[in-house]
Amino acid sequence: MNNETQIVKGILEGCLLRIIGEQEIYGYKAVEILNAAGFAVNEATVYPILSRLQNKGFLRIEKRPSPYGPDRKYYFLTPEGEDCLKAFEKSWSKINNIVSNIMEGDRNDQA
Amino acid sequence: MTKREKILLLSSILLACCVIVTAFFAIKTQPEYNTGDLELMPLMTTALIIFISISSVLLVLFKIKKLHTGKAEGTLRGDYYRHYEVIRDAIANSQLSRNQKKEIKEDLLDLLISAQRAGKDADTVIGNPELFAREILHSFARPSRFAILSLFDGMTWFLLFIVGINTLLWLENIGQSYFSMTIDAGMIILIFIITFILVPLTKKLTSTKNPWMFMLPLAFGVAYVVLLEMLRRYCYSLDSVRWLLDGQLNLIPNPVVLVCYICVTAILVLSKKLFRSKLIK
Repeated sequence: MNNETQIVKGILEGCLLRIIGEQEIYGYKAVEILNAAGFAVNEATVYPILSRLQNKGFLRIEKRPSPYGPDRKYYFLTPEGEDCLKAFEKSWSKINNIVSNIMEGDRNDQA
Repeated sequence: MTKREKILLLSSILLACCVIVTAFFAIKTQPEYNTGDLELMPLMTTALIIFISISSVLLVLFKIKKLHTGKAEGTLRGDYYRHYEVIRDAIANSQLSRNQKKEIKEDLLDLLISAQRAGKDADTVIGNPELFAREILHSFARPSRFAILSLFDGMTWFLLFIVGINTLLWLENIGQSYFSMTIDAGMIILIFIITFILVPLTKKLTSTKNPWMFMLPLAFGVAYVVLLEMLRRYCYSLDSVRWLLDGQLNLIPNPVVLVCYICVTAILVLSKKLFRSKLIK
């Protein structure tokens, strides 16, 4: 179960980098986009990942006034973040192929 | 006021009452009290202790009131506020810098207010607030790094307490030399336990959902006094117990040692800042 959580967190990091690379978003919006994409994640899962990415230097932030409360933090990719995203896409593509091949193999064996 | 805030206020009131009663008791047990020859300085010191005790309660009350009048915090309702205050306390008690704490607080408020406005359930959004707070802290550094920084705090406060108590004793005995003051061995051990064990433990435990953990310092203080009295009654024949109960130590015997205390304290504060910037990203 713990391994599964770690894998999902790793994948979420990559997905968040991709989402942030495509549009300017804030924390709550990121959760909504991930939920709409099919990830059953909440704010408590996403915020620490965003915080970690920011602390690693992959994201820069910009604060803008929010209509509801304190200033809202918008996230943007840094050059390091872009490199990390490229590395993730490469790794993910490789892993995806390997897993798909194995799964296809299983299906063929069963047939 | 939430249950958590009521217990926090109650613990501060009880702690202040204990300190005030002890201060009165200390004055009353002095031989000069019965003869009516009490000097001004011990009275002034007692008055200062009482003033600080009452001020600490008022400060807690003021901070609680301020939280509820805060524009953003005041927006959170029911479970949202209850979960938020657990996370807020955990972050406030952590070793993060003031700016980092402020930034997390603003992020949290934005997230929670947005979720609340969207009509989401607080439990679905936050899950376990203790776990959420821990995840946030882990995104900055490993727990061992926070522990190293806590050790710096412990050492700094221990030195400050020793100098502070020595100064207080000197004020009570203003005619005597500052460097001839002696502190009870039991008191030094108590300060050691408070700075290195009790304060970090209380910070950790008050970051949980159980608000009764705010009573821990008071419970420990009472237990320590009871323990010492039990030792006096039943184990006084032992040398180590006699040393603990009646032993006196002169920890600042000359100006050089005092300067060392001050310099080491300053070095510890600066080192902590330096380490924090290296250890916590």
